[in-house]
Amino acid sequence: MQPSNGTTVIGAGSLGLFASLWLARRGERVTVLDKGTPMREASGVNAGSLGVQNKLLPLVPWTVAALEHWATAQDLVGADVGFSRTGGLRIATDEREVALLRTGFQAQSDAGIKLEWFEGDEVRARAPYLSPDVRAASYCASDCVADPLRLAPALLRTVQDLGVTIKPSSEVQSIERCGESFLVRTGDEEVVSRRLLVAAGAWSQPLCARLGLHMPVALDVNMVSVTEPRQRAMTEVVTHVRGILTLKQVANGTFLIGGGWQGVGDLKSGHKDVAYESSLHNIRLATRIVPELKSAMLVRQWAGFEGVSPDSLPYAGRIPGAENAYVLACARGGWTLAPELGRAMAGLMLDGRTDVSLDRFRPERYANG
Amino acid sequence: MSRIETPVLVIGAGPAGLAAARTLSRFGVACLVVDDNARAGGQYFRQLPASFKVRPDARLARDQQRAEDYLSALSDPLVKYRPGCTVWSMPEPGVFAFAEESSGGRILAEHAIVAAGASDAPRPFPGWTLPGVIAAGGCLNLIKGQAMVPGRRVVVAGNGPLTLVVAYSLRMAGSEVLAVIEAGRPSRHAWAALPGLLRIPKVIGLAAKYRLALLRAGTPFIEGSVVTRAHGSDRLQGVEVSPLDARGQPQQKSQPFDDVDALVIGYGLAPSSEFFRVIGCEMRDDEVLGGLVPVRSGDLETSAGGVYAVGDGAGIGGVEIALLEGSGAAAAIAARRGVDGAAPERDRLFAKLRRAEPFRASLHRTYRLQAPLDLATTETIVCRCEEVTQQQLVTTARSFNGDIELVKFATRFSMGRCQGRNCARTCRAIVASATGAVVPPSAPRMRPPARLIPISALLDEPLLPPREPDQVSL
Amino acid sequence: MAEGDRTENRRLDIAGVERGSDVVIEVNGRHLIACEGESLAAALMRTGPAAMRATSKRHEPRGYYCGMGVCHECLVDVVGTGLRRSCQLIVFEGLRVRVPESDR
Repeated sequence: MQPSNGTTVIGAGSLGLFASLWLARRGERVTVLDKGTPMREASGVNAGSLGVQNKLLPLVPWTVAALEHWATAQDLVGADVGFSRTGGLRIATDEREVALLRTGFQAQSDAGIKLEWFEGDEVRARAPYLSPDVRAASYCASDCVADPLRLAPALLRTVQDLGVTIKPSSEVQSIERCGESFLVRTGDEEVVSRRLLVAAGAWSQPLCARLGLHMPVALDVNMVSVTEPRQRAMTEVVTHVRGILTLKQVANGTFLIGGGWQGVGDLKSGHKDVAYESSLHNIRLATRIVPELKSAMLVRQWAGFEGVSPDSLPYAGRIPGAENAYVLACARGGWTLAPELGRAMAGLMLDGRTDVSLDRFRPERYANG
Repeated sequence: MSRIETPVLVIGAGPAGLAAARTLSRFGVACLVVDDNARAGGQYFRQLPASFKVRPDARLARDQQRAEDYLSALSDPLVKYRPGCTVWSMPEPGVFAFAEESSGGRILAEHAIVAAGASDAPRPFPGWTLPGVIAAGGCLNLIKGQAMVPGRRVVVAGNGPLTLVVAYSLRMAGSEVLAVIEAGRPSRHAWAALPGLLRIPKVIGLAAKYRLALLRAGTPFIEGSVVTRAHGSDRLQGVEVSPLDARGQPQQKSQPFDDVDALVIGYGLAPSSEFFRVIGCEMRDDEVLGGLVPVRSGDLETSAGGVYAVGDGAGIGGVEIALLEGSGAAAAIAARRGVDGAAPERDRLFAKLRRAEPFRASLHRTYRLQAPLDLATTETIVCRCEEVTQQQLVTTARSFNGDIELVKFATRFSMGRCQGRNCARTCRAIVASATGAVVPPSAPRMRPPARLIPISALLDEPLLPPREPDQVSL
Repeated sequence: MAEGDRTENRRLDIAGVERGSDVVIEVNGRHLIACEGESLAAALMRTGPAAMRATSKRHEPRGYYCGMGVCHECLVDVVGTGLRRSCQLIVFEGLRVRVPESDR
């Protein structure tokens, strides 16, 4: 078989498409295969938070770099993606949580993130919409938001304008080596390329297994609840220090309530659904933190899949033993990180190296269980 | 009270729901009837506030005798009734989540009869969002439910039998109906459809009565015409009417009507099928039935076991069919529960329904149009909640090759408070015709809540201890 | 609209129906006499301009449309609560609302 060029990306979510964007900018021929519709899984159903404060420490520098891309998204993807520098408040409601918040505050400050601390009445002076239940809060001006629903069409258009071919409804049936190339078969077609990137989020584990890598991916079924548009009450994005709540009021006045409360679903059937009690706990917590919500109407709830690694850090790097095969998936915060992780991955694939080490995210770190 | 148990839950206290409750209680089966309105009756049997007194000479066009007869079902000891109660989800089979003004919980019922009714189908045209332009159902609700008319100089326009009902009701209430503008040609088509229409003879009689009354009042009944524009600054002031050409599209020339208080528009009804879509029922798109409806067995059971669908909410058919379906499903449930005499009654009712069924298609044929009506222009708002114009929709649709989800994300059509009830159908049609894309009628699955509910209703129900998400960063 | 004046009200009322007793509500700070049991939408439509709100993007006037709680066009700003569907809200003594001012 003739050696070929080009890259096949499996997965047209945010990570796969940003990687494609950066590859295509370097002149690479890219084909993206998605088993369903692009940007429709985690990338399409998240609540749009772009936060620094709530990231695990190893991800902080990546987040800071990613936010620079987000700030210039208008240039990057040619459209307004609803990016807004709301600032973010990370909150604590009891002694244990305050201690936890303080620890995180210290660690992040040491890592160079500029944070402000508020306690007691100062919290309400800073953010009048927060209830007295909030005992302490740390503020970060770099926490912001964007709109997944606006990113999706813009990103798709941008990569297609760059010559990337996107094939929806194309589930991968097999991956074979053909000399130095990869031959990927979907139901209808065969795609041949020099390089392969698995960016299939929650579905990445079986794909990597085909390439000889054990890469455990657990399934989260996250829920979001949305209210009717209301008069402006919240300015900052609010996240709970224990990660059990995210709350924001977006540009059109609707509130988005999230936080990782689990719905029901499984990958095999693709079934996903809101879990009644779990979603009510989520909403109740939100109303305890921002009482204004109690007089709002609930408009919509939904559930979405997210693939996660055991340490909640991304899988990003070469697949050992499979030359020219790479993975970029399960970033937990992937939506924020995608522009920068995508860029780093493109660099790794085309140049063989990155500016900042991806070693912590090496895909084989759980290969031996 | 946040946990309610009942053998049968009836969702909707309009004709179909009331008929179901009556039949259930006659067979000794207890039920709970819930309705999101403050008063029972739905649209067709809509009642005035209790404090209003109706004199014998009241000029109200309504089916009051029958309304009171069916409403009395709610007084039966076996029937419990909760007004102001919205059922918004079915977390598991037999468990129905409900929300009231500031409380809520779960109803546990082995069987459910969903009689959610219908709403006015949208038909955008320039000026349709002006205050003073109201839907046919909205006009009838004012008359029957508030003893008022929307105006004293009214133009009635649309396509379908409702315009006749509206015009007659307005006339009876003393308003001047300047004209009835009917897009179809029922006078011509009714003859061929007569055999089917006669399956429900009452309707023919009523139609004749209404037409005669309008004739006597000197109200022009103009067929093959449409209102092409409603105009005014902060409210309706006048309308323009144009005849349809041979291709079924509005001609350029128009006839003005000035000093119009109210324009009532009725372009048909659409079944309120949200609940079925939220619980994942198998759905199908049926033009005669008015849109997306649940697939039903001969007993009117949906693909969600134990959940029955009746009345206009399961497919437009009018009050006579709604009453039969409500009773039929109730008898079917009673038969399932082994109640003596229920099975033969069920069979009798379903036989009646089968005889009446051709009425639907005949009514549809009577009012059929040459071609789908396209009255919106570039600047017309096609999604009212999110203020999306036809131009914006078409431009966005073309830029995404008709991918309906992307168009939805980019324009936010159907994402506002009404959740697409006033725009989804027309917007999908616009996207399809602008791009040639094949747009599926709608993803059958819809997310909860089936209707908007107050968050205050979700705060008090006792829940199991929470299983909090793992403490991780996001 | 004249304070407490019921003459204008009767124009749209259907003859032969005795409406409920007086309920005083407040519209844009001015008293309005409504009837016990009627909806806020009806109270407003019987007496005042048809615009109940202005849209958030294009600031266009909207009013009563479907009358059954579906369209959300009849949303009225209820002081202290927020936007509520006026066709579903039954008037009560002391109800305070704000609607767009007009010349009528």
